[in-house]
Amino acid sequence: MKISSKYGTPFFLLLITLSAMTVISIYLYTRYDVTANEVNEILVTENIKRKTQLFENFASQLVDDAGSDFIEKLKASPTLRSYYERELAVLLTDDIQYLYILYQSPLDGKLRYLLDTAADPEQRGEFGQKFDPQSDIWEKAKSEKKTQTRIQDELDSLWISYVHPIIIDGNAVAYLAADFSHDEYYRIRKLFAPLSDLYFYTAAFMTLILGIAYIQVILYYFSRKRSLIDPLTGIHNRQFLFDQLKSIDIREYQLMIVDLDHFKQVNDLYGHDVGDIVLQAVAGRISSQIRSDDIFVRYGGEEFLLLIYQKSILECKKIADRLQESIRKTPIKAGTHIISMTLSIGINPYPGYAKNVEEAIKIADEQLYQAKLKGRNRVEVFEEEHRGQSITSKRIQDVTEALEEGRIRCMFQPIFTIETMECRGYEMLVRLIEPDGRFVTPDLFLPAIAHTEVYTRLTRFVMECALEHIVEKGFNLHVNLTMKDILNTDIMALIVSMLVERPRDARHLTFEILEKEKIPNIEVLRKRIEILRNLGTSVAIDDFGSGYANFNYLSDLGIDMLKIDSTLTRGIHRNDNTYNIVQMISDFSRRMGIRTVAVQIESEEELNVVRELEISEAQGYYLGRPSFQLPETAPPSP
Amino acid sequence: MKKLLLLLLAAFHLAASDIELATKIYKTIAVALTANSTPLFYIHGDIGELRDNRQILRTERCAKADIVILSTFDGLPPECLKKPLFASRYRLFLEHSEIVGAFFWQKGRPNIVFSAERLQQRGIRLGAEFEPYIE
Repeated sequence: MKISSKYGTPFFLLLITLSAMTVISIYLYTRYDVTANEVNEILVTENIKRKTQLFENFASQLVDDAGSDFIEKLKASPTLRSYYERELAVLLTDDIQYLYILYQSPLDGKLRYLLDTAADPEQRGEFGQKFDPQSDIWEKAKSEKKTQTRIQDELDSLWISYVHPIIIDGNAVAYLAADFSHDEYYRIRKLFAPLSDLYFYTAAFMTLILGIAYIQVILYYFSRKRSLIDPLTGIHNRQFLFDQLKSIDIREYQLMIVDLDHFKQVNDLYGHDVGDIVLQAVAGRISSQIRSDDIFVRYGGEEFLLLIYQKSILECKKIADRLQESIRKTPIKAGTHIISMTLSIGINPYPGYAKNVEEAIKIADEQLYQAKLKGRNRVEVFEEEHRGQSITSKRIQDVTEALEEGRIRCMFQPIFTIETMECRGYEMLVRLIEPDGRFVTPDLFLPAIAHTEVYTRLTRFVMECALEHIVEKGFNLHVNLTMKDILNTDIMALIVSMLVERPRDARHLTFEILEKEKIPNIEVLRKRIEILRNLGTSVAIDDFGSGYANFNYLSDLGIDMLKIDSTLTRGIHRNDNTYNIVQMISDFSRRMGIRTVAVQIESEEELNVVRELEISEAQGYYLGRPSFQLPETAPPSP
Repeated sequence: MKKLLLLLLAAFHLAASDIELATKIYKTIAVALTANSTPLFYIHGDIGELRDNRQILRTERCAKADIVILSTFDGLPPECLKKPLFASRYRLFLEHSEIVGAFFWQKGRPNIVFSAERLQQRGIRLGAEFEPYIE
């Protein structure tokens, strides 16, 4: 598994973009500096060039006027020197600090002053005074016989020195020199000041923005990392798995579902703290036995999922055996307890052949189920001959065929008003009829077709069946839905499209919502229930008392009916606990104006007790069994 | 010549300021003039680079000094005349024949000059590296 993909493509895109921005910003900043210096240099060169032209003219004039032996003549005549110094001084401007002529002494080769325009006696070089050269500019002017300029980095008070050789008979005999002060430099730099300021503030702003962006990226990285790690075990979680699945080729992996046997008993016997330690220990041991290329996540409570990278079925099986052994052989120490655990493992060696990842996982899960059925502490591998057709896909196919062949049928079980013992309506129960005539209940095929188009087709079939019977017989019918159905946009759209134009029929319809699943989003659920009720239907919570719904939810959801779970009503006449619970539900519902239904009433005693508790309706074998046919008129009371 | 020039140039580049540079030059010259590796300085007059300069050893008594650095001749104690005199201004060097050399700033550049005749009068012999500066 590539590390780069660990925390998602957006993170790395962000990082790459940010890095690119940083590089571009640095490039632009350096580019600006280079350009500014280049422009500065051009301006300076041009400016100096103009001035030095005058100096060169002066030097030519000096040689023309005084002749090629001008040095000797100037040496001999202080008056002549004074004259030419005055002439030279005319060329002085504010930015020229010193302007002078040196000659090379033929006796010792030293540079000595010939003329100097400096007025300050401390700065003025006396005629014949030695001049100590500080750079090779003089040597260069002499050897190359060309004008030289040099930025005086070493001298604080000078900026640029200019040396023009005066050539006589092909030899440099004297040098006209000028030292420019920094004034000109500062004047030119000043021209750039507004642009520099603008650029500085832009760069500062960019730096600030980039700094903030980097902090954001780091925070995002850590928050993303946190969101992908299971806090209990420290391994990756389900979200990480699904993120990874977007970027990996599942065909390169073998899928393994690992489940801790009898983990519930550990929790019940030793408590959840010990259970947590066991989970941590198991996760740690499995982590230590796999490679970094493998993907290992906590998939559910005590269920782990492993994607083993590029291994044969045999090797994968060996890994599973090794994992099993590592847990079985060494009991887990949790506080003062020593707990022996075993693993059941289901392997799907062909996840790439499934229609989607969910189905690939489902296949491995089925193998895990087989391992559990066969006594746990086992490894079950999906057989090659079933490749391309898992149990799940077979079931999907079965349901599809059953729908096409009319082997999906609805049964109707009557619901009675207890007070009058009149049939108030029927609960619809869907059945798949196998070709050999066996009935298959929904719990055996609905999970397999969940999230498939077949599921929507089946829902449509049930709805059509209900509406057809409502139109024909005018009975009230109850249709079962799950929480997920209500939250499923496709299913809701289907229901709305079928009922929106039929408010009169909708009034005969009650949707029973199973409350065994956790309510993921109460607000969305409330809105969806409101939509159903606005269509004219009633809404009931099914199996109330068995799952996650509580009284607080009931008041929020605005439901019409509660169907009390059979575990509470069965044998109620001889169980004080369930009696009290049902009494409480009944009291609460009456106050809230919610009707109550007692289900699976199988004896007169049970019926009498729920009547005593003022439950409004009842259903069960004692009152009426499910039937494929609806009577022409309401059935008689038992 | 090259040696001293390189020394001066190196000092020139490495010196954090003119004061440091001047100090190095003064010390090099003092060592050469006095043949003492840690010469004792007597400073006469106001010499900016050596004012409150703790990098040189100095004395308040000319008699004890190995070398006298001066910016003026006015008020110079007579006993100083026995010591090698070294000026911080070129004009002073020109005007007083007792002064053997000068280190001064002219046109933003450091300059060193020694008088061959005056050195000889005092029996001072400088190394070959000082040759370019001797007039």
